[in-house]
Amino acid sequence: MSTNSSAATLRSAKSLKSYLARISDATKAKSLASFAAFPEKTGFTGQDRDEHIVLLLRQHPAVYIPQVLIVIGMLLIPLLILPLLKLLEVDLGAGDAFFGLGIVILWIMIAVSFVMVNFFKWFFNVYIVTTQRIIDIDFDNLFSHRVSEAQLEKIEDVSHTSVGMWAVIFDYGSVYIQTAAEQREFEFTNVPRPRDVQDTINDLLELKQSANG
Amino acid sequence: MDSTIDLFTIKNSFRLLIFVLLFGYTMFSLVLMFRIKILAETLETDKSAVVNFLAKLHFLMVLVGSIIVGILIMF
Repeated sequence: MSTNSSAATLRSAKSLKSYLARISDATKAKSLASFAAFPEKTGFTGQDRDEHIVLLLRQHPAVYIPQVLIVIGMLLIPLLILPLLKLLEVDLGAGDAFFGLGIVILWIMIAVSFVMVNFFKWFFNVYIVTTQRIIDIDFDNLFSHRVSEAQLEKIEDVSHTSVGMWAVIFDYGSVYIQTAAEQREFEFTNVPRPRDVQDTINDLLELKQSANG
Repeated sequence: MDSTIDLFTIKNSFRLLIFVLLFGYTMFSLVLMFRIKILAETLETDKSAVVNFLAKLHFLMVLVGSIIVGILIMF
């Protein structure tokens, strides 16, 4: 979606619904943002020509604070072991030194992989709200990913929760979207500004219902 | 007979364990690279190509790193 058409969409509906005013500050968000409104150069498999992405959401970066601390701890361990060996007056032979170096390199590689995997999980765990539907792309582990979607008119109830100290400090929470019977509930986990997400989905649903008459 | 006994030292057991770990780790990064390729095609952003490249770089790092680690632990 181009900048002009995004702006036009904003202008045309601004007087109608509150969500556009609430999310308009996120229209200039970078593609690595966790809350982006009308993101440019963004699409997904199966996107229709007249379908526009309204919100692109990822988990709030604050959720990954424990992982960052784990990596820092992992990188510190080799730095602590070497002085410890000196302190214990352990004399490493040449063979043991090479063996130890190999273990240290492996350990650092695992730490780097831990960072990369978490970044990939964050990047591809995406929740998309379009003018037609909601899409939930889940990348939980290496061997599986799941893409779920529901048309806006199938949505029956939208709610959100914000639980915990970090959620209050960083303003994130989970949005629950209940769709028609026999379909599972959608969960947008730990997304920034859950109130705005809920309002946006509700307003889009109202617009869709009024358009359908 | 002595050489047979030497083969089963604690250090050699560690070596075997690390070799198995390195093989599994390399396979993991290979599968991850393919998974990211599929996901980058599912979600197209201006950074998807960069992330796809990062996954390839990660695999290369693991492959080269595993070879280096394999050589180092043989000493």
